[in-house]
Amino acid sequence: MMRFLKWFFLTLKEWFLKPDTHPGTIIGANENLSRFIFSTRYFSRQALRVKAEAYMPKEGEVSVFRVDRLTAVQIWKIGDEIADERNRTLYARGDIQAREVTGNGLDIVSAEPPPRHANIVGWPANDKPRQKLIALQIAALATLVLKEQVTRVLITSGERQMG
Amino acid sequence: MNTFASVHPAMGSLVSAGSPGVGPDHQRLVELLQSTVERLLDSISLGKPLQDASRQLYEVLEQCGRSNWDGYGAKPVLFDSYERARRFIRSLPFGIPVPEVSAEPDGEITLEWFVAPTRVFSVSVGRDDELNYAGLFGASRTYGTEVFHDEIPEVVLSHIKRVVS
Repeated sequence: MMRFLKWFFLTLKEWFLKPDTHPGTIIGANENLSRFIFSTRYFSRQALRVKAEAYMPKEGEVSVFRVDRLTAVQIWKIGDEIADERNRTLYARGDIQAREVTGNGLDIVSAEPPPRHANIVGWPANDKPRQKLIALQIAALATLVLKEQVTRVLITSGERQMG
Repeated sequence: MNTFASVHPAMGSLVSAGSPGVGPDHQRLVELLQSTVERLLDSISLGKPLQDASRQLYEVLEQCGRSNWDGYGAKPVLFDSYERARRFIRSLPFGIPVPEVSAEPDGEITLEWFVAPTRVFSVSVGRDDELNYAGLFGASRTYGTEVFHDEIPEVVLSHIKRVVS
């Protein structure tokens, strides 16, 4: 029994410490989801917030990435790749936990490729006011992470190393 | 009602005491006074915020006037929506702060009054007369649809007042 428990916890530890473990198809309630933002209209620099418009569905879906067990650099790399593909500038991302989405009556479904991609679905059909309300509620819980903050941190740490 | 008052309601009190004038000089004076009053109203009383909102609105039209402006396949913001949003903003009564302006994936323009994440009211203005709105007022919430012609519907106005008060 002890041997089994030791094996079980070691396996679990190994699994959690892997830097880029690919998540399964079932999305956990505590998973972190990033919404990459390619338009300055979808966030406010002054208030440091994601606007609800960033979470309004297009054809019943909102595209997000599952970013658990990824480093900040790895997360931005995914966003940069999407931006390159679409010939867009990546400005920021909105981070939110899966349960904050499902708590509003929506579902999150894995939609690969690309790896780690998922869609927020289950929006009330042909009911824009309700969609707006849900988007406001999600945006109220989302955290804005600006791309320029990362660039600034990297430059500052580079300057420190050079100095 | 004298000539001045019929030109601009705000001018009525300025000229109502005198006798109405005639001739080309009088007409030029009327036009001069009219443009001065309009400029004053635009640049002093509501002016700066209104100008900011108009500028934001124009920027939205410029930035979001093409398909896929958000990288997720958004529809373009059309000039009709811009015009309607401009009329909405100009119809706001005195004392109501102007909204933040943005756009949505379906090409409609968003006018948003934001105080805090859970104290926010948002109206979507598109090319037709429908206004779709939603708001959070702490634990309370609202959503619905109203029709906008030239006057902001009372229910929408009351929600705006509630969020900014």
